[in-house]
Amino acid sequence: MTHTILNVQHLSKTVPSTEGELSILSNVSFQLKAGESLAIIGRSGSGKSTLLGLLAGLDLPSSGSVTLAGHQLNTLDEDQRAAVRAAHVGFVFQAFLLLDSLNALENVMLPLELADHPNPQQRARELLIRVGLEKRLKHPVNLLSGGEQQRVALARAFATEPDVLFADEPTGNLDSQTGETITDLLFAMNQELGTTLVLVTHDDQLAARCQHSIRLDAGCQMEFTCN
Amino acid sequence: MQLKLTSLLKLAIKQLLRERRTAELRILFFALVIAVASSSSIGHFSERLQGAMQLSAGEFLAADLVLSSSEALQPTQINTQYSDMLKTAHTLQFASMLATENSLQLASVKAVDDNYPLRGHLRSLRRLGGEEISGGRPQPGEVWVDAELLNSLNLTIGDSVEIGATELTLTRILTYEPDRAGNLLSFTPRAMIHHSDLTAADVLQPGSRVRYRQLWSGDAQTIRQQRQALQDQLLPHQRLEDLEDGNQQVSNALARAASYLNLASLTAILLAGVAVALSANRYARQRFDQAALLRCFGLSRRQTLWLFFTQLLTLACLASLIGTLIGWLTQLALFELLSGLLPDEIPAGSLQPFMAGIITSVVMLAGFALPPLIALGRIPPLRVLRRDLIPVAPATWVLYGSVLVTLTALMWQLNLDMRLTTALLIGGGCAALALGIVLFFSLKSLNFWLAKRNLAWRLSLGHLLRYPLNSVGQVLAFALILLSMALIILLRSELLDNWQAQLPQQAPNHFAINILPSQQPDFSAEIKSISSNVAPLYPVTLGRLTQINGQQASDLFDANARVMRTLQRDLNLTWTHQLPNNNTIVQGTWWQTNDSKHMQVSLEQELAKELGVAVGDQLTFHIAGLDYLAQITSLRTVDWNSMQPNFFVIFNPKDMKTTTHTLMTSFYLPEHSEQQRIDLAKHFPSISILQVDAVLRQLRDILAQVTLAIELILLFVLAAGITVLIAALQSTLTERVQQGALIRALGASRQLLAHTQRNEFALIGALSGLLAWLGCEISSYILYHFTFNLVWQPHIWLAALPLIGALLITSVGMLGTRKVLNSSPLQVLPR
Repeated sequence: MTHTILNVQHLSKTVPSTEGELSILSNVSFQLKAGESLAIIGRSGSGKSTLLGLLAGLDLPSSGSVTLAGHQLNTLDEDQRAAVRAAHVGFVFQAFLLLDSLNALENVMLPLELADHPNPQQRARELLIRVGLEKRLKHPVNLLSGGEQQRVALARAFATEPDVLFADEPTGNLDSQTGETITDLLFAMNQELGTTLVLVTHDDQLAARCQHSIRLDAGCQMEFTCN
Repeated sequence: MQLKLTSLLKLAIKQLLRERRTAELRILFFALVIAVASSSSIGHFSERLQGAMQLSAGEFLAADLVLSSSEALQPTQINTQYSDMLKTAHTLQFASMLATENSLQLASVKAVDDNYPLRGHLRSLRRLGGEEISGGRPQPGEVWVDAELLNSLNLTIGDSVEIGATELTLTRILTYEPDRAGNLLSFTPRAMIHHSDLTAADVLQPGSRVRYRQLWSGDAQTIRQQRQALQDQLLPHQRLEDLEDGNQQVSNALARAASYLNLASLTAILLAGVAVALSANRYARQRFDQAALLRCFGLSRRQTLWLFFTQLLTLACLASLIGTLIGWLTQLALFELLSGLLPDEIPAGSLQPFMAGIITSVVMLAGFALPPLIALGRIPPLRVLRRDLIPVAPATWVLYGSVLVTLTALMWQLNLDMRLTTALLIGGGCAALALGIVLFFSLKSLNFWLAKRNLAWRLSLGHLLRYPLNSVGQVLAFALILLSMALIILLRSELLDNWQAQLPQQAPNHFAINILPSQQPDFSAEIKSISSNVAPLYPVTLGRLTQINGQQASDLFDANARVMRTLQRDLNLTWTHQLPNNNTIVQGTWWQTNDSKHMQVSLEQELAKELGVAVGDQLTFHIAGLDYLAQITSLRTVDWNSMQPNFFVIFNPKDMKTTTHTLMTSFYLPEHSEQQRIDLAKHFPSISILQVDAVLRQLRDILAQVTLAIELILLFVLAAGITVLIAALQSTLTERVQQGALIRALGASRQLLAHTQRNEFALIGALSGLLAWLGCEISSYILYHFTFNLVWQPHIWLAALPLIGALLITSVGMLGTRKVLNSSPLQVLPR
């Protein structure tokens, strides 16, 4: 029987503005079991990225709670949340966020080295081969194409074998064909490693490939569906 | 994340190695290397040069420290706890008659031991007109005499000379005696003998007037300790002398040179500091994403900060090592270049400049790079999703506080005059702030003007106006660079001109004393026929100051007071209608002929201060058995460096008509004029001619060394300035490349882009030059006034600074950012 890895209860986020408190997320609740996948969908400005940030412990809610891998994030300070991220979380970003100063291999090695992995280079090499970049290992990342950069980002995200992978519009910067290839790769690796996947997208086709989806509109949870 | 410290350290170093290709890290590294190389080479060079100069200057005392006394020294003074660590020698000096078969002559006899002199060498001739020999000293049984004595006793080498009860053989003609050069009052001709002949000569009787001198030399620290130990047990009839006392001219030159070298050093470090601050800021900004990512990967705020801090610390250590090595090689090369000019045994120098270099880099990094680095620790991890999130900047007080602490630490390390430098820095800071505000609003007001300009101007100025705060910062930074370079060039030429003016090529190098009034016409005529530069003839008489305002002068002061020396000895007094050339009246007025019933006297300002008297006070002088009551009518400053007869006390001539006196003057004779000097002595046997060539020669040597050092250090500052300029421009390169690519992508020609860049650089350069001009005049005024004691005047050539700034920044800028023009628009667009 699989356990609940992500439990979200009455999550709200407000920010101060010139016209008083502005609600950007209101009363979101759901649960996700280990190995499942969830798409967060909605239009631009609907609060998708805000929700992702709260789920990953990058930000704190104004009210409500997020429990990730048994840790109630809203009761932890920033350093404790960082420790939870280190142990359980991986990320893929729309803008890839690779470090220009490092080559592809070094980018993937970085989280492994941070986790004191015994053989970061070999593991990083295996992952890059897995994503089809065996001929690009030593390439400076700024010379890679968008698709290739996102593959490096995928390899980096799966490097530490996280329990939960958060992906923010992973195909947002890619053409549809490349986006599809990346999506295939993402789901395949997700399957292989049994990772829980939470992705933000405005692409309904991509969302349809996830087991669950949550639709947001102006910060409110409109529906939580099982596909 | 439980990441071990060693793992973090390892990772930091790995990251550093991986990132070695990045421009900002290279610039930061380069700036640190420059700072360390300039500070350690200047530090090392000036330390060794000072050592070398002290060595030459120590010649004036023939030692580093001298205790002179009119009585034999106490054993406790000769054998202090430091004596064993120092080299020592002793001399005795007394007046005695020298006799040959046919004649007698009073001479100043100096008995020396086997170690004398401890600094410098005696120089002598084996025969008149022969080759000058350096080194050696009279051996037992020998006597060396100077040319005057040779002439007056009609001696030749090998003759016997009687001193007291002993007979010695003349073996050399003494031409140079290091510790005699500094003392212009040693008028009687010299005979030098070995100390061991004193007993046989039997000339020293109880009550004889003897000058005992104990000499020490050694490392500076022990000499300082010895001086302190002796100072505490100094008796009233004793006097301690070190380099400071040895020769005022040399110590003045050294003090100015040291001030200049330190200032140059601070300038080079500050310039590099600007580069460090700029490149560290760029380094930090480029790592915002990296820091956010690391936080996502699970690193705590402290670990993230520690990771970057370790990287920079490693970089600083590496830069220190390389900078120190470059610094050491540079000073070695400099000394190789100067080898002909400096003494043979240049002291090796300590490790302190190396340590100082390393400390400089760490302190600079901490002060200038820490604030932007702290910002990295404040990166919210949410930035990975929201790119607009930038860290909260460190509080302003942290920023300025750290810069202030850094500067204080650097100043302390360079032994700069804290009060003055602080005043300069605070003044400079306030001026920069005020000018920055003016500049900010001026830039803003340009918006109106801009609307009517062509596209190139609109684009270039638009860039400046869009970020006025950044632009103001950039202009101020360039202004600081230009100001520093201009100031260093300015001071260099002022100092050199000043020294040149002090020692003109034909400055008098001989003094003539004991000229009888009856000899005056003939002597004047002869001296004018052989010399191109003769000072006026001054009457001289000896007199003692006995009363001040009717009170016994010696009762007014403490027995140990310095002024008691003046009261207990005869002063050289003179009188003249005209104020001597190198004297300036600072209080009261110079007399008009016969304008008072009272007897009038003019006093040198420092002496008046010591005596506590002012214009209007009355002084009583005891001259040739008579008391003279005179009123002070003026106080003067005297240029003691002028090589002219100078006097503490000058009377109005109307009151001195009947006073018995002799005359004195100074004049110039070219080198190798021994024959003219001997002829002069033959024609006027009673007149003493004192040669002070050696003083001038030594002074010129020292000044030549200082001049060369200054020229070379100037090159350093210029090189540092230009490099920092490039570094500063490089720090904005990415933004420029991106903007350039965008403009080109929108269809702008390469030429338009070049125009845009050129206009922007020219404007920044001109504005920086303008600020540098103002800043340079203000800071030079402060420095001249308080540090270098120079007369300040506006410097017209500084008005060229805006043009120089525009040209310099434009050319360096265009060169440094040619990548902007050459890069394809595609290169910066996302792939």
